[in-house]
Amino acid sequence: MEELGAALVLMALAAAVLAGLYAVHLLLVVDREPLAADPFLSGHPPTEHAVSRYHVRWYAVTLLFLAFDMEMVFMFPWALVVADLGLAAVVEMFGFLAILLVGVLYAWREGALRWT
Amino acid sequence: MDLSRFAFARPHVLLVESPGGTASRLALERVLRERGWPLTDSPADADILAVAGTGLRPYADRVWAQLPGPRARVDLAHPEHAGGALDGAQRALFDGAAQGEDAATRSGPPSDQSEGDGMPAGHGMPAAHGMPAGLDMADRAPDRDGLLLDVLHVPWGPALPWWPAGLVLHSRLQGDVLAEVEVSWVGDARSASSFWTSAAEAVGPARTAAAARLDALGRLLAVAGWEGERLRAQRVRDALLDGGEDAVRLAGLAGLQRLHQRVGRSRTLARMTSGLGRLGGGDVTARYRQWLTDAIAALESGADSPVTPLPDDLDDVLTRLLTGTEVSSARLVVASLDPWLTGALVAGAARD
Amino acid sequence: MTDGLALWGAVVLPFGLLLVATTAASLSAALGSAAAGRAVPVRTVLQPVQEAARLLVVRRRRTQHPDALLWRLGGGTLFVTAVLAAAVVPIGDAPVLRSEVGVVWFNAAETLLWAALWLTGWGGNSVAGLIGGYRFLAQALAYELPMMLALITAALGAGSLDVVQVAAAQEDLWFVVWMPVAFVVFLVAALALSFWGPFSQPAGSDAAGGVLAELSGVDRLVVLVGRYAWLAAAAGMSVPLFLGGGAGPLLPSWLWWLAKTLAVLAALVWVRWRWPVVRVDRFEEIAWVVLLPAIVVQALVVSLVVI
Repeated sequence: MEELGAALVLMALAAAVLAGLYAVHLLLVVDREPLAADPFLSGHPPTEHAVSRYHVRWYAVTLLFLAFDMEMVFMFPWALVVADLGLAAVVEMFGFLAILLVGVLYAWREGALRWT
Repeated sequence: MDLSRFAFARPHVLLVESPGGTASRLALERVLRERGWPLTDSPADADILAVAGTGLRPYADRVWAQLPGPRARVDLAHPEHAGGALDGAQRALFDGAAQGEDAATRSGPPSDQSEGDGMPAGHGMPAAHGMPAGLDMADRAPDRDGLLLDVLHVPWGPALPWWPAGLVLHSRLQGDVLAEVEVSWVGDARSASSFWTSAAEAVGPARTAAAARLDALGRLLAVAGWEGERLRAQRVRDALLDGGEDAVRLAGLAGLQRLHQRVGRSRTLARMTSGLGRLGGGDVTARYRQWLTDAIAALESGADSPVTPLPDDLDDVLTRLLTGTEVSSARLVVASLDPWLTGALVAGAARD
Repeated sequence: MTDGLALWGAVVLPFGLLLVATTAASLSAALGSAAAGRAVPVRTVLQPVQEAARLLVVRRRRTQHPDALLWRLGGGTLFVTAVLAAAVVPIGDAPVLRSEVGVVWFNAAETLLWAALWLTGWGGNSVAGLIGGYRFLAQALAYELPMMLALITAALGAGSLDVVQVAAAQEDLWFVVWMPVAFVVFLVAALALSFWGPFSQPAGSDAAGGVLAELSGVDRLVVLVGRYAWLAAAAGMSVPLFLGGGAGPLLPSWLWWLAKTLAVLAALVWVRWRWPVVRVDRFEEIAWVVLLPAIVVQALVVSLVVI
């Protein structure tokens, strides 16, 4: 877990740089109070909140992605030991990947990868 | 060194076109390109609001209120003043004291600054009750598959960059799909061809026909996100509209042939635009390729090339083509119909 | 707690990353000037600095009812994660953070961009931003798996997840020679995760700037800095993964690393001016049907070589 501490230090340093930018901005900006503005709608006023339940037409791809993503978690440690375990490990991993790719093929045929 | 002079040496410009503002837009685009001042997509990133022509008042005013500031505005009625007007705008950006005062006057909520101009607020939406600042939550309506989904009322145009002058598209948006579309116009948008008619008298119908198509191509390339080629198309367009002689025509021809190689034969661009906006057997890809071949033919033969006539039922055609598309396709389709909407009717007009 | 972290390196790292990122922005400015038919004077390299000064002077904006906290958090996450990712990149021989699982670390940092971009789009309560944010999610679904497989393929070739060891394993032969597909896929994914050039549809002109639509002043600067920083971090990572790290004759290793990084960065920047935007809905299909099988086959070839 020693990386956790390093991550916190790095995040703090990077955030400090951004905070520095905001500080410089406060010194230079024409007016410190942010401008209250309408969202850009080609010159029309907004009639409703833009945040809404968005019609995500590619939801099928997210399921496909999840199936692969779980598999990838196994693949990082596998990459370390495959040279020792030899052909059996290769066959197992790529057999698994092949099954997933068949799923991709099916999704493709069903038109899940194209939504327009 | 004065900081604001350094910071605004290269101000960002939001350029919108009002009906009849074609000449002003072309003049502004040329000056901005020569100075290297970038054109931007939204008021948030703009230092200067440039309105080509004068017919967009309430819309341009509302966009003007959205510029963060320091800000400056150019309403260009006479194209020959483009350079001077932009100089003045930049000087206004340098003036820190005046900008500070301007900023201080704008500390209230935005609705205070833009109320009372009698514009229709969307359509079919009842006034909000009980919501802070009068904003309603999204409504719901069935989508094309019968699912009940949130709907937003989103207008496109007229104060929108890379958009045909005067066109307003009221859409009901589900996700990024234009579930329903209603077309209307601000001002007399179809009179815009007068610019191209007078250009045809000045530099001849062939060069004008080529330039009008390059103008359309530039807009399409901007919407397609190809800034480098957009700039090149506009450079060739401006060279053709210059008063010069045969050398210009030849340079224009060389530039066009290069565009034909790079853009016309781009497989990536073709893949992004194929199958969109099918009309009379051609899609968006077919249309921009046709512009390029027509423009080259016009310059080579010195003759005018035929232009598809403007359909009487343009609004219906747009509604039909755009309903059910998503935003990026819709923008490409609108851009691909551009010579109909603004100009290339030139050719027809010049012949009469 | 912070074993393996070179503290002074960590202090310098954000600034070094900014410097490399600025180089990318300068080059892009020069290419833009050339495309507009203008001369490219030497002072063009200062254009990013000028842009930054402009955004520091410009006022910030608040749209109606924004989710301000998440909006700013999303924007800042871009740069913070870029610094995290760059920490495991060996500058020559030694990274700022030496980790046994550096490759996974880079992957983890890059994954946070999903949230960062979506929040940046969502927070402003603006249609354009919302569309841009969701476009990025769809794009991430397309590039993420090829990216992970490209990382794994390089790790597989070295038998280690430590980036230093991956670079060391290329002493005889750079990985780019026998894993060209993985290298290309990595660069494509690098462009996509920095929503740059052909993959900039999340910030597309057709949606009034998408995730960037409502950002002004320093808020916008932070997002743009984060984007260039990621471009630089990804270019920097490609060198130890595929281009032999700091290996090279005569010059010190950090200089070789820098030279190779700038070369990759220049290629990534050039792509922006050479190709139009690739629409996400069309890229999705290409990513899953072409890139993914190609990189799986590449991984298979590499694994057969190493056993």
